[in-house]
Amino acid sequence: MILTLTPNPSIDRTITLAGELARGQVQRVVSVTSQGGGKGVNISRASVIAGEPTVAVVPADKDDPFVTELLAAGIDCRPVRPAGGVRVNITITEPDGTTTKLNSPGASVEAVHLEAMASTLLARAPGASWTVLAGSLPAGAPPEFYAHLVRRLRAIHAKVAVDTSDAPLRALVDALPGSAPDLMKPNGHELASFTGSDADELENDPVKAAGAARTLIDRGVGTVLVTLGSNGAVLVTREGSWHAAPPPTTVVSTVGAGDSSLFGYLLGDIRGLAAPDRLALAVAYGSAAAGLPGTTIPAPAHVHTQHVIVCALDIAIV
Amino acid sequence: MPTKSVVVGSAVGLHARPAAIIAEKAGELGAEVTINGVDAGSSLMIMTLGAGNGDTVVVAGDDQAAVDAIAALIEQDLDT
Repeated sequence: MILTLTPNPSIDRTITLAGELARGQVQRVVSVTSQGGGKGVNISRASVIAGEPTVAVVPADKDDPFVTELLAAGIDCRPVRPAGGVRVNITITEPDGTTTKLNSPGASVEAVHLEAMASTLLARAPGASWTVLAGSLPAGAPPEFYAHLVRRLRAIHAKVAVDTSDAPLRALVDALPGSAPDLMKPNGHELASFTGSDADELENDPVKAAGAARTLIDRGVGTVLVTLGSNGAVLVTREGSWHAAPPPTTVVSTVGAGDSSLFGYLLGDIRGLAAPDRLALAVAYGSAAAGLPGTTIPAPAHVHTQHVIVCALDIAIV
Repeated sequence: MPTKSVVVGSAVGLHARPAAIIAEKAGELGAEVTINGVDAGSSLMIMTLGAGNGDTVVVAGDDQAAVDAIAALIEQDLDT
């Protein structure tokens, strides 16, 4: 079972217009679609589609449309006391491809809301193969929230994966090795944000990306999976490092590709695959997601591992 | 589309060696065959199914002979 926490979920509403967006005018809308979003939720969605049990912890009222949608999608959703309604992010798309995004900040959380998430997660973690902390933190949360939570989860021997960015990521890195998760999944830009490297250089050079990721391993992190966009991904463990190049992919939407990669890695780990095979599965899942529209999460039938090329970058001498 | 439900015969389930043998066979056959929806030509995707000994899986494809061949392999104990 994969347990996910999405501390700052959103309802992603896409409004499609027939013509240009006209400020100050009343306009007809062609279609409106709505989907519950957030990195942890995406991972739980992928898990349900692949037939792997999952539980998604989200701060939301039981009767919030967000929860209704998740349950309808077959996700075992554990709503915990929220600070307010789930925020709605609006994307307006025009026929020429112009998109306008209006992201709402969401309600500001207090200690009681953060503790509700933490205690629900800690209660469920002993039954999980992996516990995944994913995405941004809500307004009002201290950046150290993930770092503290990893420490508490490690104390009960849960296997923890973290995928976040900006201040929460920096706070987690600052608290190493005490807060070291079993798995971190930065992208090239996130990795560069605390290693002082150039982000584009990391994205284009798997050896440099592996070197930067190695600094996290040296500070106690179990495994680092670095997603490099069209250059695939790099996996670094104590035993070695590998790069996987993706198959030729016609990119439709990269939204959710990183989440799909992380899920592919976790599924490979749960099924007992070797490190290079887990990496291949991660890249195959990410590529499949990039070839699908919007945040569509790939089903196993969409995932093709044959054209993923894995090569060892170095083997550490233990 | 021809489909066939079969019981996994390998003691270890559809894991390393059995998955590799099945994927190799699917590659030789050249026809598209799926096992529980995943590409039978990919040993990794077969392993993601987590199908154990005694589990029932569904083999499907456009080519009846290819479906039968893959189904027959799944029923055998391939880990010997």
